[in-house]
Amino acid sequence: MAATNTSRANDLRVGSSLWLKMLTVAGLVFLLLPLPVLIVYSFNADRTVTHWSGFSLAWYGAALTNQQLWLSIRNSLFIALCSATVSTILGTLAALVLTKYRFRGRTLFQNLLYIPVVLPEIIFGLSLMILFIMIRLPLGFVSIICAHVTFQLAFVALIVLARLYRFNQHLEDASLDLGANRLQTFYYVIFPIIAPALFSAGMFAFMLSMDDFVITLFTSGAHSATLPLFIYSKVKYGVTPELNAVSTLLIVFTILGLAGAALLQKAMVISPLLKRVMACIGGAILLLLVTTSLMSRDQEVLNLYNYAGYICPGIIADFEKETGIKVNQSYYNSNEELFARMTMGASDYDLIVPSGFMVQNLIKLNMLAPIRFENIPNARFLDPAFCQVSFDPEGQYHIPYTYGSSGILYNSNVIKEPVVSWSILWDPQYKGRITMLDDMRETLFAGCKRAGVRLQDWNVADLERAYLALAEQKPLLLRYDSGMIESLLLSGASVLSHYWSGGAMRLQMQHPHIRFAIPREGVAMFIDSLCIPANARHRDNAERFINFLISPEQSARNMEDICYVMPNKTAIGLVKAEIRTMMENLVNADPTSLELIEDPGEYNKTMDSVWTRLRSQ
Amino acid sequence: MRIRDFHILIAPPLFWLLLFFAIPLGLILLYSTSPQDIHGGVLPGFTLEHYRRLLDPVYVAVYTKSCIYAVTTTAITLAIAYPMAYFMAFARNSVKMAVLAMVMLPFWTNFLVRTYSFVIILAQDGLINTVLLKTGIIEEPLNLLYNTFAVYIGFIYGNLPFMLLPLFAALDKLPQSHLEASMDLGAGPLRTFLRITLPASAPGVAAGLIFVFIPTFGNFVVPEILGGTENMIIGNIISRQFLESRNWPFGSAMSATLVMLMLVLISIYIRFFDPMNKKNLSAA
Repeated sequence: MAATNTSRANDLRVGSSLWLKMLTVAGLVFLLLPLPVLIVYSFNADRTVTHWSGFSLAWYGAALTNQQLWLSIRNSLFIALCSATVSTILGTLAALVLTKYRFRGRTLFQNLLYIPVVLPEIIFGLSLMILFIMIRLPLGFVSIICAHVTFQLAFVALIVLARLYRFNQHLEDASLDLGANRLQTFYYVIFPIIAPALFSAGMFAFMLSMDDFVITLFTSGAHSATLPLFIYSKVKYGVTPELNAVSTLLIVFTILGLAGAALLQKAMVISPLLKRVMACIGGAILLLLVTTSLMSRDQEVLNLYNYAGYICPGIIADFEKETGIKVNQSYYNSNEELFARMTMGASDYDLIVPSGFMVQNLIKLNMLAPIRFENIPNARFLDPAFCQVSFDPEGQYHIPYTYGSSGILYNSNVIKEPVVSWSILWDPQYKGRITMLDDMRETLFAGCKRAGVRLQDWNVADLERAYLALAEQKPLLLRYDSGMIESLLLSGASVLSHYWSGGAMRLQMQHPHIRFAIPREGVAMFIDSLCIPANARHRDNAERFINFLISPEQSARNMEDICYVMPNKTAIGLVKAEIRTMMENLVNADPTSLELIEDPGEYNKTMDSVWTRLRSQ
Repeated sequence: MRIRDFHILIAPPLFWLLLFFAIPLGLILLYSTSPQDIHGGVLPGFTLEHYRRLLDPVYVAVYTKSCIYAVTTTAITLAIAYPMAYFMAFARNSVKMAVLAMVMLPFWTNFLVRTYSFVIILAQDGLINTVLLKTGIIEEPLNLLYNTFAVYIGFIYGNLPFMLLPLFAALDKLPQSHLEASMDLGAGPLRTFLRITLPASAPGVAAGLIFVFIPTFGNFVVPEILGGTENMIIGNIISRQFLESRNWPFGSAMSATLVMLMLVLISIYIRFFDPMNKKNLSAA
């Protein structure tokens, strides 16, 4: 590069015209704009992400005290460090082979190395997931690291290759002629010359690993959520400026890290002592990460797998204090994700929180352990209507945790008419200010209600009618959404939203002008249950925890925190009055209007085509 | 030369790539011809049912739409990146390095976060609308978010560096003397561009096209964050087969078609511009 640069005195004034400069500046502004925007809005006092209402540091407080965030950062660092190390070694080997030897199949090897760079990430991720399931490798740190190494390899090899091609072959010959053996030659001659390239390759691999989302999504397991996965679940299932605060912190740390790495790279060339010191520090960090992630193994534990924010943290703290059992929480975003993790046969959960249709599925596959009710005396407080239900007729395998429904959340300052029917979501006067859930089952259910048919009949012609209803509604919608609903509603961008009861009530508590209605045609009800997997290793602890959680005092406390109703009449009586009144429209709803949806089985395929047609055309 | 003795070095990376790359791709093919297990996963057997289902007009429409998105994104990205790369290639060294650093900077924050930041920029009460309303240029907020426009913004934004960097690498290698010679021999600027600059940048253009087109085809995150009611493309549908609809073989069949497409494009690319040959890499 150096040679060509000096020749560019540019007497021709090539590439110096004004419009070129303007285009370049415009392009750079486009590329860089998101960074200051993210940073500025992290100081937003408002709960909505788009509306600026004043300066505040509150979101930094929230971010810094978020345990989930710190766990995910630790996991990401650990995975990035391990995968970068392995891929640097393997990539260097590949590069050495490619420069030094001509062999049959060289082109094939080269392509094998290169193609992962351009393979769509989603295919990369799911093909690896299929492999891991097949060879029964537990999804977790090991599987993520293997996946990351595979896509990092090509980049490492390319960077090292570039350096090796400029390497003077005579140096190696001289060393060998002077009597050094191959290992010594590598250690004393080749390695010092390519070391800077190895360092940049390792850094690059590290950053690729830290940033990867798609491949990690498909290969991560129960306790291995990484930072990008944490960010994704925030973006998808509820955005607040906390995300901006997290991003700002990340930007600051990466810039510091980069500056540090640049200094380090300079220093490495100069001082071998420093090199050793850095190696020691690196090793120490690795050791620390390994030990912290292996720790807490021998202690009494309970591995709880739950939705994020779906249990009052105080209850867990009190349970730990009272029993000395350490509760390890990990999180999933949907029933299907839980199911996927469970069927991969590599799970290590003691307590899970599936919805009814999923409980049914798990019972069918013999994946749940029967509950030993003698260990759960507090079960007597539960409403029997929720214990013997269609998905578990004997009530052997589940303890009902909460129930709720979807319904209509609306801004009562704008919507003056009473909200009693699904039909209001089809009212043209609110065009462009309505959102529907980005959820196949729920939204098709709403379409069925509008068309006057029942989703549970699993009838193809009925579903077509629901499709027509939803297609008619589509021009009126702002979007199908699950994560931005609260922000959109508070900022006024939307006024009517199809939403879950719990999130709705939590919002209503802080903003009284937001109301939640259950349409009279009926809503899809869900019952989320506490279940113990058949292979749980801490069944006693799980039952102890269930008993603690469903005692009326703790249940009341939990309801006040998460705003989902628990089927426990005594506990509801203990809930603070203002929350109790809010819950009443669900508690006192006509039982026939709350419809429990079972697993559609084969019918899923039909629903999938209809949903695809709706969402893609 | 001393060839034989270190041949064994190839074993670890080769083994790794076979196990974690080649075999998994083969498994996708295997899955795509297996019957569906409605509890997730597949049953033993052979069927072409999933490929037949792909011919359903619903899914053909999705392929068409994804293709339009990918082609348009690639074209616009190329149009934006070419002048920038051209400017960088002929700029003073310090300017060149500064621009390069600025192009690389956003890379160091998470892609999801950067995509999400466009929600703040494009929303009805977001940055652009607020500025335009305050300055009185518009009376009513513009609908910039949750539509096809926003999806394109997200795609172009995410892909611009991948187009820009190979273009820059190619143009940067073009010696100034060639341009001088062309001008001296009487060619005008346009002719010089068409006959000298454009052919010299061809490897960069080709690499950029590959780097932008294929990932856009499989992307599902951008439509999910910025898209409206009708912006679902192949990536979204594949991920739903695995994460929601529990139809793994159908998702695999869709993936297999994408892999075929990719292999065709890649082999064309490698055939004409070998990215790993010595000349290309040693000049980088």
